[in-house]
Amino acid sequence: MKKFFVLVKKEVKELLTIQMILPLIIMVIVFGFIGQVMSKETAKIAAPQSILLLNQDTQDSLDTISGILKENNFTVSVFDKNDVSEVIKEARDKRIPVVMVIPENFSQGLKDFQPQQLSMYKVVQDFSLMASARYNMVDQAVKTINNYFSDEWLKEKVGSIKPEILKTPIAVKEFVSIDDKVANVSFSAVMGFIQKQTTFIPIVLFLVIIMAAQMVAMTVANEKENKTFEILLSSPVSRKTIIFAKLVGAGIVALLFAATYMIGFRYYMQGMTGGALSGNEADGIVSSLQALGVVVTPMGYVLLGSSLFLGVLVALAIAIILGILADSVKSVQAVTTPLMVLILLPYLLVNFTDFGGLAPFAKWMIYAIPFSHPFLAVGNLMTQDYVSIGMGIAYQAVIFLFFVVLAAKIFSSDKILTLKLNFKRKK
Amino acid sequence: MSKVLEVKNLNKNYGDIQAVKDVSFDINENEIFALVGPNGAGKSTILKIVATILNPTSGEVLINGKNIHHNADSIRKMISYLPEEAGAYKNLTGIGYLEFMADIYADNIQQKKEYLEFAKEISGLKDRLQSKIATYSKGMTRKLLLARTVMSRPKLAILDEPTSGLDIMNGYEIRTVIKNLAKTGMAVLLSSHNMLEIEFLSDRLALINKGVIKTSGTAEELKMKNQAKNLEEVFMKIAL
Repeated sequence: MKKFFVLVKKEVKELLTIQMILPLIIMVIVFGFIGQVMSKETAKIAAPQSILLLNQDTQDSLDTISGILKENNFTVSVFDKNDVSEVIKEARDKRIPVVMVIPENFSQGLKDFQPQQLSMYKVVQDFSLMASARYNMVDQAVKTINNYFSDEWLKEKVGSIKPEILKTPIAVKEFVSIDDKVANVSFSAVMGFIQKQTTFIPIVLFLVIIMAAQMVAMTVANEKENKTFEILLSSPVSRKTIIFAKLVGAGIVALLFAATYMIGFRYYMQGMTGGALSGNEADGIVSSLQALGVVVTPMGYVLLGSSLFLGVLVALAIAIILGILADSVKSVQAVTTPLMVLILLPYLLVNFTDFGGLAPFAKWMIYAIPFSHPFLAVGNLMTQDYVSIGMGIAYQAVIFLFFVVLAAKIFSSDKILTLKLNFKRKK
Repeated sequence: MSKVLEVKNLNKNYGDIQAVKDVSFDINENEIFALVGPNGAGKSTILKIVATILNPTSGEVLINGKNIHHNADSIRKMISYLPEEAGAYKNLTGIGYLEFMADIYADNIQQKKEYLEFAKEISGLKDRLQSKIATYSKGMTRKLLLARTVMSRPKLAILDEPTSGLDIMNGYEIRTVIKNLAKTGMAVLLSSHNMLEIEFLSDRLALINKGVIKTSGTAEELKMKNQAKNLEEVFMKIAL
């Protein structure tokens, strides 16, 4: 047992180099920084937006339009000259993103039931997603202006029925049902909330599994190339101890990386979603989720952690064999590519398709890939389907044992030194 | 003198290629035995089989009378192997590497201490043992690895091209260390294609070509038998 810990310590020391740690720390800092920036930008969008009005019509028109805009969280400034190019220049100088021009006879035309035209100039100074969100808010405000005047017309023409009833005679009361539980909440609200809580989990899983596999394949190939393996294999330590020490050493480093990634992503996601939901809204959705049974329990987190750890271990066991196959350290990338595909495929199919709606063959193919189960576990975690997670874990354990036994067999035979994939063109 | 190593009718095939053909030799205590031959002659394969890394296709290898493939675990405590042009863990310091290997070989703290002291002395690296191996020259790495190989005072040290690629000074120092270690009771099996090194180091040698031992004996015996001035001439006469 002492030799096992000595080997694990060596593995961890070999893997945790400054070259490995530094990018990780930088990643957390960068994600934290992005999160902070995003948080500020989200807050900016939630704050009142500026709009510049150029009124070529009566004071009545200006009062009506600016009133509607103010109700829609806009800060309205009025330009007192009648030159569009000047107003655009003014908007650019003051970094006001939108100029709206109320044309002559606007009010009168509407009173006469004549369709009117509001000119809108979007003064673009950047092409960020936040700028796009800002312009979407203006479009939303124009819809509100339209609604206001169509309501006025309806009141005038069909006075006996309220305009909102005329426009939406059918109201929808939305319920979400999961398993046998039902809650009065919109699906988009539930989905949005869940995604905000769990989006980063599959990304972290994906990154950690890939990183761990490449790391261990690299160390095996490196040991083979440097012949440190030959020294180790001729020393009084069993082959199984060498394999398990490699697995545990890389597993510890992988978990450390996973924890760091999680912290980085949490900062990032907090920044992204920080100002999106008010406390009351969030509380309402949380209580609806509880009614639906969509709650992550400590047991759920333990199972997800187990599934992730086994996923990493399976990747490591396969990567050890792939590392043996590598002709040199340089060819590690090539030999580990099939493993990357096996990780990428379930990541995409589970997270970006309707997995339940896939053809049975495709579904079973995904179930057969051991790396699918941590991704599937994220969804099952929400619905507390612990049986499915448990079955996935059991399957991963079987696959892990298979590859460990295979690796042990290779380590105990000549193949440890003779097995290799040669990518050089045969002459 | 008791036999430390006995190799009997050893054969090793890699697929269709017969790398080692019916090789037999033995080594006594205090003896340096060299396998001499060109690249691809089968020297490294024999050394790897003796080091318990490769399995023979047929034949028998005994260390201290025990068959190495039936008693690999206990045999590995008696032997130590230095591969040709081997490296070490570059992120460890020299002393960190020696401590790691001492932990692997030693049964207790006292033994580990003894191994470390001996390795420090053999390596001659002094303060540089505190530096990372990544900063070592080829000669320094080789000295560190030789110190690692002999630190546990194995019954049999297996050294594959111990001075390959080293300058005159480093090569000489390593050869002197090996010679002195043999005087303390250690048996040494080494391979080389450097005939001068072999004449200086070995008590007995075997000339090997294409997996077959062509002749064996002391350097003087072989030169006399083949009426040659040096081992190079002996080899050319036998190989052709």
